[in-house]
Amino acid sequence: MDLNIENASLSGRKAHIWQRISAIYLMFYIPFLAAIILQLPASPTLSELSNKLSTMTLSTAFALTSLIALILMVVHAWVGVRDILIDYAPRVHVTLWLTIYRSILALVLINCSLITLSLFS
Amino acid sequence: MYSHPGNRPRFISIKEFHFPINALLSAAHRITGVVLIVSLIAYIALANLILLHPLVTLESVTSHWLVLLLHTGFWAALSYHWLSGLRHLLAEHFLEPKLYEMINSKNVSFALIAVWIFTTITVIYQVWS
Repeated sequence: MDLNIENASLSGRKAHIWQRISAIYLMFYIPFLAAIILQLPASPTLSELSNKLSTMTLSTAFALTSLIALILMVVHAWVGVRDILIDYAPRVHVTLWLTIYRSILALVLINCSLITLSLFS
Repeated sequence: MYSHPGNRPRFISIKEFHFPINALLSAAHRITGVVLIVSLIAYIALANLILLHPLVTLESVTSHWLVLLLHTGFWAALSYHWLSGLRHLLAEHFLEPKLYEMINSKNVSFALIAVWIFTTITVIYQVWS
């Protein structure tokens, strides 16, 4: 049996490259996120929290890197769980599970955007 | 009476297999990935609750045991996923036989587990104190 996949869209190469790009970015972002969280007050109100996040040093850098991190995290989560579903879900149901999972990730993105808007607008 | 299954498929319990430590660590990378997605959905649900429910406020939930448990699970899973992900990236980058062998050695596996246990203890201390 020939296992060399000629069709580029089925090789998984693109997904693997995106997985690596997002992994490298998140590798640097996560320690930064931990450092920011450690600076936050222990039990803030919602307005105190949004004030602190928008007035702290590196607040613009944090907002921008967090936005990129959110998008790349969704990409990373998509490729990772896609691989798990392809490996373990019964073959007849893979497409259905992938569609459900894709919809969940889309909802996560939409909801995160709405939360950000209501916090900082 | 027992009859030999011949060529028929047989059920073999997963407990009968003894996986090498790297296989277990790799499986744990996937499991923590799923835990992270579940935690993320839980955080989003919590944020929605705080923003939309008139009786739920941020200061009232920050010290609730369920939220503290969520923080602990999230950061413990994230630290493991980060550490083993770093190892995956290094293994893909350094392909020279000696370096590759070192990155995948048992000593590095145990070092990864030790660092993760230390990080998790720090997380528990930070979250619950």
